[in-house]
Amino acid sequence: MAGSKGSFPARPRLSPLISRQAPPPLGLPSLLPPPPPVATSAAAARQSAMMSQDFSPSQFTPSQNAADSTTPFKMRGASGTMPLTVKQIADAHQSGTGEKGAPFVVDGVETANIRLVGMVNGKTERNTDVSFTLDDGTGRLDFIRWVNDASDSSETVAIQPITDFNEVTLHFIQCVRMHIENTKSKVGSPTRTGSSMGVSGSNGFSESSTPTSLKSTPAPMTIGSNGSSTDLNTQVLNIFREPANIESEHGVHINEIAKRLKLPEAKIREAIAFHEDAGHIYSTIDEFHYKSAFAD
Amino acid sequence: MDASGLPAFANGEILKTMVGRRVRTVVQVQHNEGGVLVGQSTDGHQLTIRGATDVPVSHFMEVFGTAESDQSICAEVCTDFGNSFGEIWRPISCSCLVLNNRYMIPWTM
Repeated sequence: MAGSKGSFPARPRLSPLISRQAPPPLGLPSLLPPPPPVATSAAAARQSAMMSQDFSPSQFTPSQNAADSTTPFKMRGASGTMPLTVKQIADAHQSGTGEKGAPFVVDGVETANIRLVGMVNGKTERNTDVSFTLDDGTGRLDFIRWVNDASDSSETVAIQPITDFNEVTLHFIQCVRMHIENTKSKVGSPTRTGSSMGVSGSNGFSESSTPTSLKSTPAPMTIGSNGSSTDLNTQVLNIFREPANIESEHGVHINEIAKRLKLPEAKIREAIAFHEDAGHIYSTIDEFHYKSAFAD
Repeated sequence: MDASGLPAFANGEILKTMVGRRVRTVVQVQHNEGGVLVGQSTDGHQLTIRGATDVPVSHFMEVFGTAESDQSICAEVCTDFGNSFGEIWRPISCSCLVLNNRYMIPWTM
């Protein structure tokens, strides 16, 4: 929605976009090329449905704002996105494990899929790429989308213009909450607030999951005493409460937990049985997949 | 990342401490005459926005600009947020204080 006045420095104001991406290296994620105008509305409708886990679909209307002529990108985004600000990304460091899909760490939490909300500036289209800057008020991040980038499905990017500006506020609130929960959990035992940051009302916000989770240590842990079992139970539960796992429909496979904690499956089963009895988790598609019972 | 000149989130109360700095805020338009707009901030203060675009009365407007005084902003960019913005705008008043003063890590100041 253009709002700049002629008497002010020429500074085209573009509507803020939600940018979702999985940036393997910091700062230069890749984006899909803009779809043709006819496909934009359909893609936006699909995008609305895809993003319903984070926002109410009613907040993303397929119709384009007439002034949003510079917001053509419509792509599917990965599920399980973490709301972040540009400053948090700038302060993040890459994960020491270097595993694909978990490229950097924010507030002690490994993050692969992120969500940004900001104002697009200075879009430049070239033959080989499209570049723009995203300004969310905490910093400016340059984006480059290579036109012929052969990205695999794990690096899909979704960009959608904002039509309800309450999304801007909601995003920042989610960033604050995520930051608070992640930094609190580093001090003591993970605390779950149990309170929703969403606001009931005509806007119909749907709460995006903001679980508390700790970065799992890759070092193997010796289980001996009851105290160590408690630590294992906590570690297993933290994995289930990671944002990506909470938003995953099928949850987490036991083997994945065993691989991350470098422990035998039998030990993981014990912890899972404990949490299942306590009501913390539940099985999904089979006896190997479990999911946290808490959405936030 | 370019962090220079980033605007600080402000409401009427915080604006007093931001004179001369770039700020961003949301106001509800009360009246607009000749490029001078008067709006109500999230915490109930009357703010004067100079150089604002024509935003209808009762609409919410986001302003990026420079704080000229504790009650006026010289606007650089304005965006009409419409009249549906506001279900959660009052908590923004508290959020500004929280964001700027305590949980500054996600934000730069």
